[in-house]
Amino acid sequence: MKKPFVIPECANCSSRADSVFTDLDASQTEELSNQKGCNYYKKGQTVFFEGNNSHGIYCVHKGKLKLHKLGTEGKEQIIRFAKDGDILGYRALLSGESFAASATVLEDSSLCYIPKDSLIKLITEDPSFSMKVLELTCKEMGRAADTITNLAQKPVRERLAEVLLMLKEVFGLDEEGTILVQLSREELANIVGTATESVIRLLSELKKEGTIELKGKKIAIKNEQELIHICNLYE
Amino acid sequence: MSNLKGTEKYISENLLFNNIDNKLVSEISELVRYEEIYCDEELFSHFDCQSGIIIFTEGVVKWKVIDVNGEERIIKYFGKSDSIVVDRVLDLFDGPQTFEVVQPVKAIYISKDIIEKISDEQPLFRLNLLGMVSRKADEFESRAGKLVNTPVKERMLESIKELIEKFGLNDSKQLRIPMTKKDMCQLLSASKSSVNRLIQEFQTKNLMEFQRNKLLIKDSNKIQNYWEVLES
Repeated sequence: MKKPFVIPECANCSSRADSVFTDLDASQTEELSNQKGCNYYKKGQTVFFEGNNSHGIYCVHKGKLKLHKLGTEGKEQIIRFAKDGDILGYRALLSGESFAASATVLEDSSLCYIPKDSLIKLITEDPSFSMKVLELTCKEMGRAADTITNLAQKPVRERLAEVLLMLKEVFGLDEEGTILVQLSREELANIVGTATESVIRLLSELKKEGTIELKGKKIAIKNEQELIHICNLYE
Repeated sequence: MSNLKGTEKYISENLLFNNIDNKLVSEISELVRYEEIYCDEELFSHFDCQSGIIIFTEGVVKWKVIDVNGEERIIKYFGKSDSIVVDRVLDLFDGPQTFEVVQPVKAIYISKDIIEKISDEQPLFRLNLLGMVSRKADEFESRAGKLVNTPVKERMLESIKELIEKFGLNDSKQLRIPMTKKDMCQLLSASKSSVNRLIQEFQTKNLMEFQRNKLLIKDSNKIQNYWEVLES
C-alpha cells in the first residue's frame, strides 16, 4: 500500500539548508510553514506556464524541474534547471510580469506553494532575506550572462562538454559517476543549441573516446578532466 | 557638486522609487550627484565608482563585453530612464567591459550609502529593487536562450524592433541611435558574412538600409510584425 503524501514542515525540511529560507528564525519559519501548501507532481507535469500570472512562488521540496520557453516554430528552449531547495516563479511575482518560462517536472516531485503575501512580508520585514533573494537573482543573471559571452560562442562539441559539466554541478553524480538527472537526447540538444542528430553523434564520439559512458538516457562521466579540456574552461 | 534641475522629478519617476515617501525623495535629490558625459567617453571614468546606482535622464550608452573568443559583444543599449546597479553589473561578466557613451549622457548617481539608508528605512524600495533586478534577469535569460536556439535572421528583426520601440525614429526614418554593421554583428553575436547577407535580403525586400552609421527603416510596420517577414 502506497504511503500517503505528507506535507513537510519547513523547520524539518531536508532541503532547507540549500534554500533562501535557511536563515529565517523560528517564528518566521513557523509562519511560513502555516501559510504554505504542498503538492505532488508526476514526471512530465507542468507546474506553471509561460505567460500566466504569478500569485505565489514554489519551493522545491524534492525533485528536479526544467524551466523552458517556447521558441521559434514551437521549439522548446530550456533556460535552466531547478532542484531541491530552489525557488521558482519569484521573479514574475517581484517584477509584476507574467511567468517568463514554464516549469515542468523531470521526475516525480513535491513542491511547496508560498502565497504572494507571505513572500512580500518576508522581503519587507527582513532586509537580510531580501538580500538573499537579490543574491539569488544576480546569480541566475550571471549564469545567463555566462551563456551569452561563453557557451553560445563555442563550437557544438565544446558546448556539449560544458553542458554535461553544468548538469553534473547542478544535479551531482552517483557512485558510478552517472549524472543524477535523465534528459532525452532532444532536451540535451535543446540546451546545447543544436540538432538532436548532432548530439547523438557527439555523445557517441565522447563514448568511444572513453570520456563518458551511456546507459540509455543516463550519462556517466568517466573522465571529467577530458571534458574540462574539451570546453577549454581553464585555458 | 552640480545638480540637475528636475532631479527630484527624475528620481520620483524612476521605478526604483515607486511609492516611496515624497519627503525622502526630496531629501535624496539633494544628496545625489549629477553628471554630464560626452560622446566617446567612458561612463565610469566620470563616476569612478564600484557601487551605487546610476539613473540615465538623457543620452545613450553602449554596454560591451569581451567574449571567450576575444570578440566584442554589445550586451545592451542604455537610454533614458534606465538604471544601473553598479556593483551587480560590474560583477556580471568575467571579461573586460566598457560603457561607451554614444550620445551625450546626463545621469544621476546615488551612492551605496544612500541606497543602504533607503533600503533600511523603506521596505518598498527593497521590493522595487528586486523587481527591477528580476526584470533584468528575465531579459538576460531570454537573450541567452535565443542566442543558443534562435536563427540570426529572427534575432536581428527582433532586436531592431526593440531598438525602434526604445529609441524611436527621427524625421528621416532613421533609428535615433548610431548603428553600424559592426554594431549589428556585435549585438547579435553573428558573423560579418551572416549580417551582410541579411542586410542585403532586407534591403531587397525594402525593409531597411544601412546609411553609414545610421539604420534607415523603410517599413516599420513590417518590422513590428516581423514574424510575417520570417514566413515570407
